[in-house]
Amino acid sequence: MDAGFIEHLSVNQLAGEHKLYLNNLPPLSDSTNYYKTKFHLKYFNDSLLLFHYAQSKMLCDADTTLLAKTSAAFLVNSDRQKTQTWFNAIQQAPLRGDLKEIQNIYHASLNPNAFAAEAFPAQAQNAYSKYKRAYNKKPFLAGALSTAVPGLGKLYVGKTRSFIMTLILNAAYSAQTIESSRKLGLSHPLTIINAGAFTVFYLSNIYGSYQAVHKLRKEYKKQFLIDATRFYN
Amino acid sequence: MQRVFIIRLILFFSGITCYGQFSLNDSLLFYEYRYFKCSDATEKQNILLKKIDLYLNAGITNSLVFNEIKRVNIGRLASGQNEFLWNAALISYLNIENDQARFFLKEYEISAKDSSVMVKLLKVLLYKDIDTSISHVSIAQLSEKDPLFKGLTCFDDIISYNRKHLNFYLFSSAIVPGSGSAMNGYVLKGLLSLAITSASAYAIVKMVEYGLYVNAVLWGTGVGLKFYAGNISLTEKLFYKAEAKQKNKLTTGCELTLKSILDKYPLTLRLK
Repeated sequence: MDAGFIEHLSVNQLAGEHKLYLNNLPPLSDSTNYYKTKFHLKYFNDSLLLFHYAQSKMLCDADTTLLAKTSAAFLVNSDRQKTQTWFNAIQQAPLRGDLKEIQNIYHASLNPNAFAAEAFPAQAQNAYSKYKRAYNKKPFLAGALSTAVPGLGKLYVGKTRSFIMTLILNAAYSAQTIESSRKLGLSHPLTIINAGAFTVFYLSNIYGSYQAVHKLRKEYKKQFLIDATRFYN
Repeated sequence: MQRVFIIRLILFFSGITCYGQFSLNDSLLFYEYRYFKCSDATEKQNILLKKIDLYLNAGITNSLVFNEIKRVNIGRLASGQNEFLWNAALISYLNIENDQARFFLKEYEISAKDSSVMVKLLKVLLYKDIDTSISHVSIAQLSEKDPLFKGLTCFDDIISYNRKHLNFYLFSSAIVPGSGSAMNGYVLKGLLSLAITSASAYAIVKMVEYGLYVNAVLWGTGVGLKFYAGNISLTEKLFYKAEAKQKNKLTTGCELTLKSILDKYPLTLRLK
């Protein structure tokens, strides 16, 4: 095995030759699996990375740079389940330097109330504060506020323009429903159309406010992870 | 018996395919290892040329070859410089890396002093979108050899084609809803626009007659106005759609011309 050659293949982005070279090495060897882990980090494939990491755990755990880079890659590129599997798998690894910071980022992404913004790199602190605020907003409260006053849930989430638009639209639909029901009666088709439109807008405003909190959390979490892990890639 | 024969045939061809693939990858790895171990810069370039030849002989001209081409240091090439530059220009063009292709072609022209039909034809293809003065000169020179090349001016027709009088169509739709769409060739959509806008206007008038002023204003601004404005924006969309349709037609015609030219004067790679 020629470690220098493997590095050369990696630097020159020769994925085909790199893969073939690794496939020609003894498959059960720890070193082979270690280099395969690195390969799947470079050409990110989370499933195979997890597989080869498990086969060469001791060797990989000794390389904290690899663990830190892999953790950062999982946080940004992988799904929740595989990210959790990865962080569970490296629990026994020695927590040093970058790796410890990235583990904190992961835990903060799960529960932002457990950390202060100062615990993270300066470029991620703003995104973290935003994520923390969004995390502490309650979807049901947003829904309840929009039930009481259409659009108020959007204002609670921080979307002022959306609040004004929703309020105006709902007021307009209710006004035309009231007018048509007074002048034409409740059973008139125009009243039914107006009432139907009003109901649809009113209910979707409640659901929209509820979803807006989830969307906001997801958005800020993603931004926080991108900002925080950029430093380690 | 027939089934056994078919299975054997499939196994035979899959064997060839697998063996061929394995052999190419093995050779690529072999040369890469030699490249890695080699300390002589000129020899290194020769090894890269061999790798490129392997790809080209296997009929591969994709980004993998382009990646290898980018690694070659032209100044260090001891031999085969002209072949490399020509192949590099062509492969870059095939990979839609036209800036690189122009660079390699320029280097090739300086190095090989080649003014053949192939070079001029590739030049036309590489410059037709960015510098028509260069492509025009090449087309003129090519046309002297074969009038068939005059057909290449069709690329200019595509670039310069623009439909005129958009404002007239928009104005027409503002006066009679749907008329602009109909004039663009979409008669059914035009009629539908006319019917919807008229129906909205009628409904709003009726609402006013019944004293439903709030409804008239809100339906008028929320629905009626939207249909009216939508009819105008649809006209604009259909105008550009008709333009794109015409451009597609011109492109298809141009591609056929280019195909007939390439059948007669093919742009070929220089293989070893």
